[in-house]
Amino acid sequence: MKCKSVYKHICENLDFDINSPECRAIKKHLTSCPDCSAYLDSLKKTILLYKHEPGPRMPLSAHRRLVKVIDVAILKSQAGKRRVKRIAHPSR
Amino acid sequence: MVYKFSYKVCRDRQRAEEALQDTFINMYRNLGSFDGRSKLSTWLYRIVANNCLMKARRRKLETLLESYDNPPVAGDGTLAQNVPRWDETPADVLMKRELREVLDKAIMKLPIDYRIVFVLRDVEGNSNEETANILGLSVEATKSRLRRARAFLRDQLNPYMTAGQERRR
Repeated sequence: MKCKSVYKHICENLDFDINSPECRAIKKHLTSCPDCSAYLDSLKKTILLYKHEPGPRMPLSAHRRLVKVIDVAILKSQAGKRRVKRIAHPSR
Repeated sequence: MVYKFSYKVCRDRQRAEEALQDTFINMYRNLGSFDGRSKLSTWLYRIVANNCLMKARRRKLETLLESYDNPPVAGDGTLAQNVPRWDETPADVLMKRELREVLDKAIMKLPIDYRIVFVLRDVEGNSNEETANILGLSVEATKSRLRRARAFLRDQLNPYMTAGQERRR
C-alpha cells in the first residue's frame, strides 16, 4: 500500500480497530513508513488538543439573561404570543 | 453543555450566548414536537447546530478543502515532503496561552459546516452516525467533511507544533 491511499484512510479512521485486510495493510505500512506514522500521530494530537482545550464557563450575567428570556417565553406563551426576543449582550 | 458546545462552534462569547438563548427559546416552543425517538441530546445538538449555522457567515471554501483529499505525493507514491514529528504531547503544551490562540485561529479558518462536524464528532465524542443524524447529512458526507477538517486543522497547527524542532536544529 502506498502513502497516498494510507493518507486518505488515516484521516478518516484513526484507530484501525477493524481487522479487515485493508486495515492490516495500513498498519503494516505505518510500521515501516516514518512519514505516514508521524502524520497519523500529528492528526491524533490535533484532535486531543481540541478535545482537551478548556472551554469558557458560562458567565453568571449570561445565565441571568437566559433565565429572563425563558420567563418571557413562558409568559408570552401563556398569553398566546409566540414571538420572543432574545436579550442583547451589554456590549451590543 | 449547550453554552460550551455553542462556544466551541461559534468561538465567540457573544454569539455563543445568542445561540444559547435562541436554543432555549426554540426548545421551549418545540418541546411538544420532541417525539422521544431520538436521544434528547441529539435533538438539543441539532437545535444548537442550526442556530450556529444560521448565525455564521457562510463562506464558500469547499474548493480549498478539497485539496485535503489528496496528499502531495512524489512519483513513487510516497509523501513528497518529510513529515516532522510533533514531539511535545498535548498536555505539555495545552496550558500555553500562545497555543490556545493558535488553536483558536486555526479553527476559525475552518468553514462552519466543517467545524460543526469536527466539534460534534471529535470534541463532543459523537459517532459518525450520530453526527450525520444531528446534521441531517449522509454518513459518507459526514466522513468526508471530518477527513478534510482533521487534515486542515493538522496543517494549520503544524508550523507551531514543529517550530521548536526548527529552533533546536
